[in-house]
Amino acid sequence: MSKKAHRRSFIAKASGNGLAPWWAQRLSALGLLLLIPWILFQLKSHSFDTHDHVMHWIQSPFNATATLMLVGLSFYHGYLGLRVIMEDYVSNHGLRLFLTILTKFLFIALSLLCAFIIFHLTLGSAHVPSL
Amino acid sequence: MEKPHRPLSPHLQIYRPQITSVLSILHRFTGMGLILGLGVMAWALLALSCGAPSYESFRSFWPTFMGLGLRVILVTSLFYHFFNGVRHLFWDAGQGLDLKSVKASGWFVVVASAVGTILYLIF
Repeated sequence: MSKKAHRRSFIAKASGNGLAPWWAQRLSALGLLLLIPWILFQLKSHSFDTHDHVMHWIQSPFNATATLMLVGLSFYHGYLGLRVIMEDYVSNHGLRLFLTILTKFLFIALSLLCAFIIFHLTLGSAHVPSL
Repeated sequence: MEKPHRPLSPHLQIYRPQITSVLSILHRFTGMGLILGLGVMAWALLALSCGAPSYESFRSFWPTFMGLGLRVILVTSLFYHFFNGVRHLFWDAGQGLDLKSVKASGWFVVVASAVGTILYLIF
C-alpha cells in the first residue's frame, strides 16, 4: 500500500462512522417490518373519511404511539438510505457534505413537526392555528 | 489538496440487465420513491392539525388523476421495498447468499410485490 493510500484508509477508519449507520439502517428496518403492515392494515380497515373519524383514531394511545414510532423510524430509515445514495453518486466532496447536512436538518425538522402535531392532536385542547 | 485521478467504474447502462442487478437498483429507486411517502405523511398530519376543511381538501386530492398516480407509485414502491428489504435482512444474517437462492428469492420478491400491490390497490 502506498503511503498516500494508507493515509486515506487511516482517515476513513478514524472517522469511524461506517458501522453505526449500517446497524441503524437494519434496526429501523426491523421496526418498520411491523409498523408498515400495521399502517397498511389501518388504512384499509378504517375509511378515514372525516376529520372527526381520524381524530378519534389518533387519540387512541396505541395508535398515537405506533404512529409516532412510524414517523421516527421511517424518517430515520429514509435519511440513512438517502445518505448512502448521495455518498455513492455525488462525487464532489463539498457538494456531498452540503447535501447530506441539508438532508439531515430537513429530515429532523420534518419528523419533529410530525411528532409535535401528534402530541398536539392527542394532548392539546385546541387546533393549531392555520399556518 | 491534490485532486485524485481515479479510474471510473463503468456506468449501469454498460452491463446487460440481470435479475440481480435490476432488483438491486430497483431497491434504491423505490426507496427514493418512498421519500415522497414521508412527505405525504407530514402533509396528512399537517392537514389534520389545521382542522376539518383542510383535512377535507387533503382527502379530495386522492381521487384525482394525480392522486391516483401518486398512490400507485407509493404502494408499488412500498410493497417492493418491503419484500426486497426482508431479502436484504436475510443476506445480512448470512442466509441465502448462493446464486441459486439469490435468483429464487429475487423472483419471489417480484411476484409477491406485484400480487401484493394489485390486491392492495383493488380491495
